Amino acid sequence: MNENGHNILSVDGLRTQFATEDGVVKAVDGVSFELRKGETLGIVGESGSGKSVTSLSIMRLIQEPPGKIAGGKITFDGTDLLSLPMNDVRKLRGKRIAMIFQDPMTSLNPFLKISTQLTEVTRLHLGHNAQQARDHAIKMLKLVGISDAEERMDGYPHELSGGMRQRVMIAMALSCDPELLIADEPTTALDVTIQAQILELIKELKDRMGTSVILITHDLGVVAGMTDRVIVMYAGKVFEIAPTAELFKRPANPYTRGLLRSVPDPEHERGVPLYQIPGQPPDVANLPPGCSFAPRCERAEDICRSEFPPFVEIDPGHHSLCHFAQEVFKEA
Amino acid sequence: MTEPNEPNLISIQDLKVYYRSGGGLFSAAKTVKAVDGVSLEIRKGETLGLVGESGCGKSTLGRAILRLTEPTAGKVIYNGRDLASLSGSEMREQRKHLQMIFQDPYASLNPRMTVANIIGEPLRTFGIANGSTDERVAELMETVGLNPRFARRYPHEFSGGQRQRVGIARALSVEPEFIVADEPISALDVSIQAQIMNLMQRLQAEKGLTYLFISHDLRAVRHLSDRVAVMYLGKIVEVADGKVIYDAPLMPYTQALVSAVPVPDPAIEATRERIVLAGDVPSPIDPPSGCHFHTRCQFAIPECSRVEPKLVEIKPRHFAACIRINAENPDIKANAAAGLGAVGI
Repeated sequence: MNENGHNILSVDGLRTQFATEDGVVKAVDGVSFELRKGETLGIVGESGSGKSVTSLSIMRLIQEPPGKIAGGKITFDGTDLLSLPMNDVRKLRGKRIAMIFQDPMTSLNPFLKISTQLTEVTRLHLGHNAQQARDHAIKMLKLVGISDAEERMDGYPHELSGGMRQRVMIAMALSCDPELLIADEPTTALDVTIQAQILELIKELKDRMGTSVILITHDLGVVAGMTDRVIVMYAGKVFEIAPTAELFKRPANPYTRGLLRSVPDPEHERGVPLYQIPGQPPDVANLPPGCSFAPRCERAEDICRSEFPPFVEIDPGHHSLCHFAQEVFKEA
Repeated sequence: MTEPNEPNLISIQDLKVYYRSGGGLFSAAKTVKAVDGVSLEIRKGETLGLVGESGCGKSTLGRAILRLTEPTAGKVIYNGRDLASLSGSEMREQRKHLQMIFQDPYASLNPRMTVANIIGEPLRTFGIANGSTDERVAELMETVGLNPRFARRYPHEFSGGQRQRVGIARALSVEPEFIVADEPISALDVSIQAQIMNLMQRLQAEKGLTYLFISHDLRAVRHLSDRVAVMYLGKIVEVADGKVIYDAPLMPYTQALVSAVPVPDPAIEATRERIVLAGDVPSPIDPPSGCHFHTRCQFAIPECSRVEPKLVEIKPRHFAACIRINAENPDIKANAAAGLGAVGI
């Protein structure tokens, strides 16, 4: 991590909403964070936390209607993304900002050859001619560890295994040497041995190209091994943000602490129940007053059920959204 | 925790499930050996974990034990009878004792039935409940931590974790002895996974259940299982106590699998060495000859592609299928360093 590096991305008070039958759902509700140049930032959360909607908002991929970015500011390398005309957004996407998804088939077209899909990006963004684009595509496929790159070029996505498709998608995302890579659960659908390969690949490419990465995942193990800082989201809000090592050692939010405790660790004695957070993931259309985690929180008191908690800076760079952040931090 | 001398509840003997795949005008059909000669004992009251990557055949094995998929050959001995050779109606009778919990609580519940009907259906099917099942359904809902007031609701009105509880209540309704749980927590949020694992453990303690817990999540398997079997391309390659398989695996494949699991501790992650396997799991249509793992194994020697390794007891209660280890020389890394060849043939 580069402490002195400037921010490549800053998200300030982002609010993204969806109109549904049950009323307006505030999927992302006042999210702010910065991403430093060359940094890997993890975003962790469960269903309904708003972690994916945050990344789609950055890419301006929220479908409107029913969705709508209702407020906030997203600045990418000095450019205000939210006020940018769609045409200019498209010029950034795939070139300076790239995204990879859990399901590679969201990015790959099943009817087009791998070569067509890989060369399209560089012809569009880098002005390559056919031969340049093809050479570049083969180079990218080799870079992501596809050994028989030339033969694969003329194949179709369905001829590849899940891990290979993920590699092709990464090759496509990195074709134009993006400054920002957003990876939304890039390994969730893969087996652990393939996951290890892909994570290793993202690390290598990041080191080589100096790409800044936002890694969205539900897996605390992946976060521990890959990220410099972590954001924990719950019900559309940032509940905690901290340097990775500190978050795991000294969480300052009862939700983060509960998540960390509920993962079985190898030393856990068999037969002894795991720590469990009670209740169900939040219904974002129907949040309680006060802190949205209060109904499930072991530490909740009356104030938590009536008043919205403050976002407290507990340590340099370590913030927690909790009435009792100081106490929770000290208990760790 | 079960004692090592606990009697076997289920004994699986050389079980095979083969599928025919493809085949057309100009190409011959190929055989997929999803389960290829598996022998396993499941002891009464234990949780046997079954791990492996996608396509290794672990789900097919679980289904074949209950004959939800028909085995091609082999035996499944339960209560002195071979389940694989029972007639349809005899097998149906046995299903009272043998139940299954599925991965996807969304797909495995009928969306048009109320939760009360879903949980009560097995009771009516087996003629266990005479007349109203309401009371028994309410009791089962309490048992799995659901509010019986919601008995008239439909599956879509519940969250993923709650639906998995409905699936568990349905399996429990006939008071089974043995439950195959196929990836029961994979589709759930982290905070809900702990709830379901705790529920499964509590029910096991209360009702003396025996589980076959199928999962790709080694952390969960380690937590829930007395013993763990590791599967690769249709075969069991290692069996040992849960803690042993995680802390001191013998097979190169298990070692790689364990080392690939990310640990939620940045200090450990920063320093640990990871064995990154090259390549994908090969296709079960035409698996590599000899040891199926030899194409990805860093310790493979020419013999590995010729000799099919047998599952043998290397250490007490610890079985592995690898020709480069034996009881005297159980450490493959040391054997390779010492230049030992195929000691286990």
